[in-house]
Amino acid sequence: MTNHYIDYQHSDVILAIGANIAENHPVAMKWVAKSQVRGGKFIVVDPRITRSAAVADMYAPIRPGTDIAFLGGIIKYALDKDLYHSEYVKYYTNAAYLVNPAYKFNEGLFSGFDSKGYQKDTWTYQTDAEGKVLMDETLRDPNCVFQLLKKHFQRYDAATVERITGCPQSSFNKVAETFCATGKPGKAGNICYAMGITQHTYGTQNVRAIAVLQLLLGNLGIAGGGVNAQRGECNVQGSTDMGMLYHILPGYVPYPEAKPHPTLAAYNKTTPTGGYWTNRPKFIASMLKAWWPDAAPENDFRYDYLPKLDGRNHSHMAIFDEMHKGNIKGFFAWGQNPAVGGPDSVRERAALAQLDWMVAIDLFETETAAFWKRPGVDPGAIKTEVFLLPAANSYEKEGSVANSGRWIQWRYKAVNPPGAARSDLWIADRLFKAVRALYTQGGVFPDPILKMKWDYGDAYPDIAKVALEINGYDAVSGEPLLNFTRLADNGSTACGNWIYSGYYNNLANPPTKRRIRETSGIGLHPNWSFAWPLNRRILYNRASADPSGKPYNPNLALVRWDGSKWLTNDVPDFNATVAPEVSAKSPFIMCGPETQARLFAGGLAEGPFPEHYEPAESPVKNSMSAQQTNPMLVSWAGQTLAPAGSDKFPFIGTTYRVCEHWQSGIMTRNSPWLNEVMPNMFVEISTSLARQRGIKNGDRVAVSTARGEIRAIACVTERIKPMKVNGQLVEMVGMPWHWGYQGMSRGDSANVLTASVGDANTSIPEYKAFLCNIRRVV
Amino acid sequence: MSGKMMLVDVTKCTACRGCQSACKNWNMLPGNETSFTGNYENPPDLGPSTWTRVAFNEVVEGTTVRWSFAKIQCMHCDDPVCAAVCPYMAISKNAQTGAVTVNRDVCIGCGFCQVFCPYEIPRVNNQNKKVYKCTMCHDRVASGLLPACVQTCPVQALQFGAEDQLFTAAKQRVNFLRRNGYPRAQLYGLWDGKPVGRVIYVLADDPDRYKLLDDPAPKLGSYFVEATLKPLQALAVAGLAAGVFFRAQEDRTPSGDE
Repeated sequence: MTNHYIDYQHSDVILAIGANIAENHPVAMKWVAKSQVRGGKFIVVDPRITRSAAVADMYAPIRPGTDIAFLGGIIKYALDKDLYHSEYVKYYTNAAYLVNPAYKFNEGLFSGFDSKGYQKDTWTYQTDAEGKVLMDETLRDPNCVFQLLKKHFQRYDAATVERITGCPQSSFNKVAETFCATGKPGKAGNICYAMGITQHTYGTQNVRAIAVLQLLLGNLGIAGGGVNAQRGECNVQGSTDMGMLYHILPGYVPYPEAKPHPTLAAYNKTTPTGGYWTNRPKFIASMLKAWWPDAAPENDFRYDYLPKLDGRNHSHMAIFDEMHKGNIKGFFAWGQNPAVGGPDSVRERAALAQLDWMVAIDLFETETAAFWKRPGVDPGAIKTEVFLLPAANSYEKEGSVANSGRWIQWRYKAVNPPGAARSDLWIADRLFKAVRALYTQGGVFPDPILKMKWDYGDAYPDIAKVALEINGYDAVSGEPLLNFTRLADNGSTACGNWIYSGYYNNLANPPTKRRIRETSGIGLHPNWSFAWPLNRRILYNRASADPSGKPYNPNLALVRWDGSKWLTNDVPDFNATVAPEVSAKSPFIMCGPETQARLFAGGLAEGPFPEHYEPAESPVKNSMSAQQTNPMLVSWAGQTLAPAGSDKFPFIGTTYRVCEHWQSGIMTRNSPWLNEVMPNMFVEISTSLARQRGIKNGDRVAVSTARGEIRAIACVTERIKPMKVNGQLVEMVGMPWHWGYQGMSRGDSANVLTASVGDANTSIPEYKAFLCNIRRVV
Repeated sequence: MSGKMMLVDVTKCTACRGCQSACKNWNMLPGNETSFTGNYENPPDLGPSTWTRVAFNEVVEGTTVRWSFAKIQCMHCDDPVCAAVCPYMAISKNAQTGAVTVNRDVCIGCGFCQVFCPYEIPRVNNQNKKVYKCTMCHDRVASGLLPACVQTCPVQALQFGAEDQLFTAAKQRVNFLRRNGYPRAQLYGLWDGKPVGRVIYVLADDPDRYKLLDDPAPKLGSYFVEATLKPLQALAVAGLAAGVFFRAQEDRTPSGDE
């Protein structure tokens, strides 16, 4: 997130859309409650009345998968009623940039679309002969970003919002009015989101819609504001920071592609030409140096040792598709339980049987680990050899954990792991050493393994050594680097992850271990642990002050120009050694080459502005355009989908989590205290759907989709209402996805129902909206 | 007034039920076998191994649906009926902490306390014939710690502190709520304008909206006990009435609860 949880207390309005804070981030509610006690308003936009909505000041219903229409409506509301922060928009965004006159938008498609997808050459700016972007600071030119934005969102009036989302205009207008009031300079509006926004075939554009709205209202870079992604798992922030996704290296450095980037020089040619990312060659050179100590300009920094992408998708669903085809021989399910968590999970469970071997590393025997003996399967017919390694839990090992607010907090071991359980680091260390020993006897390409630096100790690996490598050190002296401003591209520095640089910059008292309570006066806790990057607590904080350096809200000042120098409460996210007029032109240094925030963004898969499409499975036709679904969504052959308006599957299905269980439930369903409070798999339906299907509260029901069928207990509730969409009443079946066939509490998995279709940019599966049917069973 | 008190502000409660689990954790109580019966609420009732629980209430008011929650536990009355009716004087009020606790070395599980408590809190374990209920974590409190439920509450819907201070804060909170869309906001757990015991509630609406017993009369109960029941206790000691009350409380305790 751009801000951090404690900062929620400063919000004048908190809008939770696609997030159920009370149930999925319960501790964060502390800060929401503090904002409310101060008179702040908490708005919840959700398909059902959740435990968050129960304590909200305002609730608005929304049909799953229609967030862009809802947010687009608020964007239009702010523009029409002049509620946007005009100075902020003019100076800190690309509103004034002139766009290529060939850019067009028509019938749900942006210019450049053909059978192969989008050619993005019209999603660009106009430039002069020297390549300088042309601008119109009056924001009147019909081709400037601001006017194009207005034109694009003009179509999202309140009646349209109601027709698509099912949210009554009166509720929508109340939300829009309340939230847009934060466009006033000095006011702070905070949008929190989670998987309800991202798990769609247009999840990235959902986030973009949030960003556009926050930029228009001047809510980015300020205390109490922000685009705040609440991460769903402890340290999932750390896992993406460390490059656990297939397309990024540590520190969000893009992964090289084999064909276009055969050399480091070719890769470095893709470096952004403006903003802080111009330093990217230093980050990758230092990372290569950390991995292979003999990396040097002469050997191209051992760039040829680094595995490259082959132009294909290697995300979760792609891996399982390949596995299904028998193209993957071995698989590590390391702290992951795809047999419950993966989409179309019957198919994913079947794919595991195509493997020669599988290693499951977890606290308990997960559904994935036990796939070969799951109900209805003959273990004798499964050829996969399965290994189960017991892992230590978070209190049984030492290391750092990065939270949603980017704080990298050190955690100490409290107790020893039970039995043969070991920390992940121990397992990884032994595994690497065993693989390397095999490579000493030969192999196709042994050098990357044999020459890799791996010196964390002979016995139990020393986590401090790992931390030092991540932080970075002088390649000659071995001394820790102060932070990433010391990195070089000549082989003199090594650094495993540039954004973490500074978190472990001395061995005696590294910043990640600091535990000094609040000193800033506004809850930034600058001396408590370390926030990446550079211990900055609120990203883009230059935008908290006007172009002359005067804070928009003096009570929550992050930075202030006193006439001769900058006074800083947070670590400045700009060059604080120069006068405010200079930094006023570059308040978003990571957003290069513009260094101004992008209302219009040419880099995404399906267009520069968010546009409403229907989910891959929808009960209705898209009423915005003839383009029913995101033209760039990802799906795999063999995936069965119900057609729009299907009679066989007439209801919307959606999945979510409850407070009492966590993810695939493997930890929580093995806790009797938690099973006691939330004992069984259930589905929630409205009283009208219950009447229609003859279902009573507490009845056993079967829910089916084009992929499969599950059993559950019905929860008939007033908290879900049918929604009027395009003139027709649409019903919804909501369900948690925590259950499976292992553990102390067992039940059917909701993901038996979900589809293998995903977001065009990230390939995240569309777990939040699909089509289903429901019936009572005896 | 003096001593410590717990404030339950149900208007902040999100029903995460950390309090329920924290109570079981600290007091080493087992998780019960339950089942989902169409409502998030579980376990369905207090019991010998469930000393606190959150009640869920879905209320339809015109076009508005309110989902509200209230934590239920012992009120730790200043004039506890349960103690007054106990034939063995197994229940007492701790002078230091204000907690009403059971001495199970003395308790015979007769169930008088369960029958007479106006809040229906104490519960007899039918196996070992002992009564169980919330202790206000008096062991923790005596050591300067917060009760386990208060410690775990993420939204500070539960607070524990000096009685005067919390009573004032509760009254202020009610005034804030009345001005901000909840005209029926009120305090709960009062008798004659004063706290009945060591727990008071801030409610946004009438107690029945939270499945809280409306207007229990603990002082009257106490008076009733003093005037009419004390003589009967002698009989209970003799074991005559005890049998009657065993049956009475067995009828009240669902067989599914432990």
